[in-house]
Amino acid sequence: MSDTNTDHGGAGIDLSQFYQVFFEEAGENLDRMEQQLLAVDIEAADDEELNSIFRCAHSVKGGAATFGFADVAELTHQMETLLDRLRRHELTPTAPMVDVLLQASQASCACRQAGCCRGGGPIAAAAGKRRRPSDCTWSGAARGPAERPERC
Amino acid sequence: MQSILTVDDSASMRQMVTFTLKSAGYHVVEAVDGQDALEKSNSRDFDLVLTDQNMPRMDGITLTRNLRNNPKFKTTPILILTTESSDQMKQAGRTAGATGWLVKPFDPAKLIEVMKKVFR
Repeated sequence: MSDTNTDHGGAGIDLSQFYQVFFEEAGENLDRMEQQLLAVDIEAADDEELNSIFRCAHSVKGGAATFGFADVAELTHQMETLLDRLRRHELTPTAPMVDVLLQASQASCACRQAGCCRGGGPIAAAAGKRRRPSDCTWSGAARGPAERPERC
Repeated sequence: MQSILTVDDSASMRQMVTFTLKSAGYHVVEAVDGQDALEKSNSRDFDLVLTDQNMPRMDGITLTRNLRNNPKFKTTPILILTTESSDQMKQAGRTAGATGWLVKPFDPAKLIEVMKKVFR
């Protein structure tokens, strides 16, 4: 079980009273993100689909950062960065990208289910062993004919 | 008592902001996204709007632009509270009429301090 010290934000506010709502909400967002990633058509990814997946990652990142869950915040920040490039058409979706996003999503779920990890602990270590979006270099232009190989 | 409209599609964020602002003596109304906020603003007055940026149906910048088109909210302070911090996004917020830009994660004490400054 991860560290569950009560975190007091400034103004003497006990942030732990919001943890349960955050955990439930993060779970819903991560589930939705996983379903949408599994359903995404790599050849013809819909803009609204990509935006929706981005918002899921963004929402989890914001909450994780606010409530002090650094590992989840960092992982979802990496997902968000990749998803932002995809939704802006700076990158074309590929199967390896979807794969690494799914892995990151599952790692974030594991953190959440363990009560989240605050920068350490066995779950963080396990998540760290998985391939992360930042471990990969993504090349490739916006939607177009030729795409250079990716290294990951 | 000043009335604040807080807009965020995240329930945990809305709860935290509401709790923080209520503890400082403000009256708070919540909206779940920009569209909801716009509908609520049609029937109520607010002294300040605090909105997230990335939301379904209507984002924070679009909400800001729409509120500024309503004479009732022409001079109301509108603060965008978001994890986004790019210069481009901030400029878009300014152009839409936002009064200020607060970056998440935020310290509740800092949020109260900002409210006090805005209402001074």
